[in-house]
Amino acid sequence: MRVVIIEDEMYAAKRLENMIKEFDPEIEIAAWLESVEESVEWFTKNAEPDLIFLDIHLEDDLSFAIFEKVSVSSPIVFTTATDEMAIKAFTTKGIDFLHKPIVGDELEAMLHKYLNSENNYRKPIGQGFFSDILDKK
Amino acid sequence: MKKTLKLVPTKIKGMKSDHLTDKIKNELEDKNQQLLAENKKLVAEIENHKLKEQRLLKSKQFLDNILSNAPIQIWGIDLNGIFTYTKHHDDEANNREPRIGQSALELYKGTAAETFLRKVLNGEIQSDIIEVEGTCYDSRVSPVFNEDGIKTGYMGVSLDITKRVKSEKELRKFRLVLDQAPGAVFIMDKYSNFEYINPYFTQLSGYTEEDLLHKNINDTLYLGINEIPESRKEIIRQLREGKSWQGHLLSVHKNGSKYWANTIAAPFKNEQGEMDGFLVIQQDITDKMNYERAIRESEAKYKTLVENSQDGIIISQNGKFKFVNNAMCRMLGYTQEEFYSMNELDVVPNQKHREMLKLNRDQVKDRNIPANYSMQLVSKYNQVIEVEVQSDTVDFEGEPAFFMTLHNVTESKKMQQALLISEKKYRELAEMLPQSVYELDKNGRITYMNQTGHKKFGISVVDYGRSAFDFIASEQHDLMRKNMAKSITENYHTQGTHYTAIKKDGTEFPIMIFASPMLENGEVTGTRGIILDMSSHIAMENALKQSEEKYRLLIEKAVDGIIIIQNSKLKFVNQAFCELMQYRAEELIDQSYLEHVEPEDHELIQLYHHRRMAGEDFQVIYRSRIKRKDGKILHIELNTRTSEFNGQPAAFIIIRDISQRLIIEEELRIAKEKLEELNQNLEISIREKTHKLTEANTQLIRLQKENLQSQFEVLRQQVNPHFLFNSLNVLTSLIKLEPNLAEKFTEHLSKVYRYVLENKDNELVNLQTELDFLDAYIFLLNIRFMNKIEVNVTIGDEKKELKILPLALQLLIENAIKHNSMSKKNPLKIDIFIENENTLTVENNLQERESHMASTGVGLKNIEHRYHLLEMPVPQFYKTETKFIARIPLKN
Repeated sequence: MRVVIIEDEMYAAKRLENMIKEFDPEIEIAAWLESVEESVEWFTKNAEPDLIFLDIHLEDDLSFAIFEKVSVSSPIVFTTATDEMAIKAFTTKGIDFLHKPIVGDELEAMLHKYLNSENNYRKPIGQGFFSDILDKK
Repeated sequence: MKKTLKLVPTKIKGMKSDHLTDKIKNELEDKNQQLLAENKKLVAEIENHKLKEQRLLKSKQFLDNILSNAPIQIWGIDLNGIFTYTKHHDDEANNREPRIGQSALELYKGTAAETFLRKVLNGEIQSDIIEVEGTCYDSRVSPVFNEDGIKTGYMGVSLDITKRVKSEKELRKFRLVLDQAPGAVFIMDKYSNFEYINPYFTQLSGYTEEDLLHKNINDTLYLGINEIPESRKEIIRQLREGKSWQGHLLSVHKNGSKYWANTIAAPFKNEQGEMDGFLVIQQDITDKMNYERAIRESEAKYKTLVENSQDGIIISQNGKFKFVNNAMCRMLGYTQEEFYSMNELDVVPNQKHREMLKLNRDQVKDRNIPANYSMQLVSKYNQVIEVEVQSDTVDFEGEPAFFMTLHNVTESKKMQQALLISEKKYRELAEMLPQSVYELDKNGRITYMNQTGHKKFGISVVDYGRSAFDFIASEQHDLMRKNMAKSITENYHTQGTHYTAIKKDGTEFPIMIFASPMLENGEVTGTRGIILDMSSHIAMENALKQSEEKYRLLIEKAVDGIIIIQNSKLKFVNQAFCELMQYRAEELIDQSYLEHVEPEDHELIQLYHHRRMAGEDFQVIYRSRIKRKDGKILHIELNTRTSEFNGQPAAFIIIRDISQRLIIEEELRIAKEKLEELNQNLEISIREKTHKLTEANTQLIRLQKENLQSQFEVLRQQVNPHFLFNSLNVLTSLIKLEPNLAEKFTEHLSKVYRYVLENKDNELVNLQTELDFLDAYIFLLNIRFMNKIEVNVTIGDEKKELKILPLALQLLIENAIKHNSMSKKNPLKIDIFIENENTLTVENNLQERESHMASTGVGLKNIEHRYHLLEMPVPQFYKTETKFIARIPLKN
């Protein structure tokens, strides 16, 4: 199992990593990406992971901007302190989210759902997918 | 015979051809010529001869031809009567021998032919018709002369005309018959030329033989007739088709009168079967026609009379119906057929049979006296029909019969009954009326009074017969007599006439009489009438007069002028009005009202007048100006109303002099104006004050609102879950990873929140306090955004006493974080320092994100508002190419 954590706060990323490992040490954290730029580069060069944990607020931009540049079909789980965006993403695009600080059993449930299934949740997310949630400057 | 002599001069021997030979030659030549000429002549003669012979032959052939076809004989005799030539056409056929040389006189001895021949030989005649042995001959002779011009005999032609003679004889006989025929006969050829008319025809039509014979019908009978009548055309058509026609023909006599002729017209054909002409036979039937027509007309009239008669008409014979008309059928409901099968007595009710029979017997006895009697009949539907019968005895088809006219009086009998009933009703009605009803005879005597009349006049039946005049006041007797006479003689219905009545007991009371003549069978038999007791009426009138008087007094005593205007004229003016106008009543009555009115007011008055005259009923109070007698203008108020005066619409007006009132009104008006001015001014000032108050109020409210809003914002910001949860997220991570740091983190976090709670209500805080808070806040930030953020605060101690909006700096820092990207490579640098006396500057390097979360921008605006509310200068925010700069004012 390959999982990618996209999170700009070090401590938050670290914590999530520990919690995933606690759940199942076999799960590989394929990458920890801190910015949109970094993420786009990584997804271009690497195979898609089985699951992506995505923080909304990254170093350089909102994480939605990633999908304007690459198309990804791994299932996504938002990790966010902001309700607003997450709820929008969830209700309009069906994307799951976890509140920060991340709670253990909630994380477990997500992992169960996405890592034990057989690719039912893969859907391509590409350009314009989040355009109605975004508020471009 | 052609002889040609040709002499050729031969040469004579020995002779020399000198002038002698020449001479001989010449002589010979001449002779030759002569001979030639004679030759020619001979030839010509011979030719001639031959021609003659041929001609003769031809003539003979021709003659033979004629003879062989024509029934003629050609013969020739000499002066002694001997046949020189005979030729019959049928010689050959009869094998007759030519009689040439025989004596014709001998042959025909003792016959007419002999006589004829002798006459011919004597030169007496040249033609005659003779009969020999039953054959008639038409013989003509002409003398024959020889070459020397001496008569040698006669040539004759005899034509067998036996047939013709026979025909002629027959025709003559026939003609004689026709001439004497007892009918008009005429014959026309196929071209409608008259060939024969007989004397009877002349008698009938007036045309003579001279008029018609051998003339065309169109030139005679039809002369001048443009259009041949249809009747004639029909005949012609028939005749042309070879049919005969028979019928009555109306023809015109020569003298113009018309006659009817029974006519038979028939075509006849010749021996070849072709139409050869027409034969017409006529008989005058004019008289007969006229007679017949007269009969028909009279019959028709008679029939119409009988059929259309309203009364029933019966002819009965031996008790049976021989004839009944329509009215009779209608009367009893039987059809004619049914009548003819019935007996007389069948329609008479049983009880009347004997009576009927007796009547009939009496009538037969006294013939020729028409009987009139009443009878009852019974109809098919068993209804009893009352009839009045007029009966005559007549002869019908040779035997005596009764001719009866029946008049249905059932209805009239019913009507009589009805009349009696209606009379009864009238009587009852008359008795019921509360008015007196009377009847007088021609002399004015009472013949009838109803109950009311009895009561009113105090009379009873006993008094019938008394003169009506006894009950009327003597002064009115003349009038009464006149009216009565009028009724009777002129059939005059009197209108209500007033009288004074006198009761039987002598008391008087006023009455009104409506009288009419009484008619019976068209004759006036008296008068009839209704009498109204006017006693109460009079009382009412008096009461009315009294009330009128009161009313009049009222008007006259009134203080206001009261006038009545009709047709623009003053019809009534009261005392007060006269006094007002300074006129006497006489001067005003029937004068034009408008004359006294100020011209400017005319229009209005006329308008009202029109409306009034149009039938509108309205009360109007208005003002006007009138001129007093002395010329002074008076202001008046009119209170008008439309009503009826003497049957016409008029204006009833109460007039009040309002001159005085007007003055007061004016004063009031001025006062009112002043008051209004005052009022207006007051209003304006109030409005202004109110406006100011409102404004101030609005301001206050707005201030309060904004304050609340900002407080709320602060609160919202402060309790921003975003910050809290992010912080907690970091903390949870730290707990495991770096517990010591976690402890410190927690301490700083609680410091931050304590500061918020303590200072959120303060309008301003010391810069020092704010910076303390900022320290804790920055600590948290550094852990969260490790190496991605740098906050430098450079503020001298002396400034730390200045005041600032609480949490303003925190807000600005958050703003910077929200809008800028922060990475290790490109950290967000925020510098906070004091630029001048009263301004705190917060700068950050500009690294704007592409997209950001929807922010309402409330944060910066909130700071602005709060500063505004504090009535402090507003903070300024602006961007340069590389920086975002915020300038926050500080207070001393």
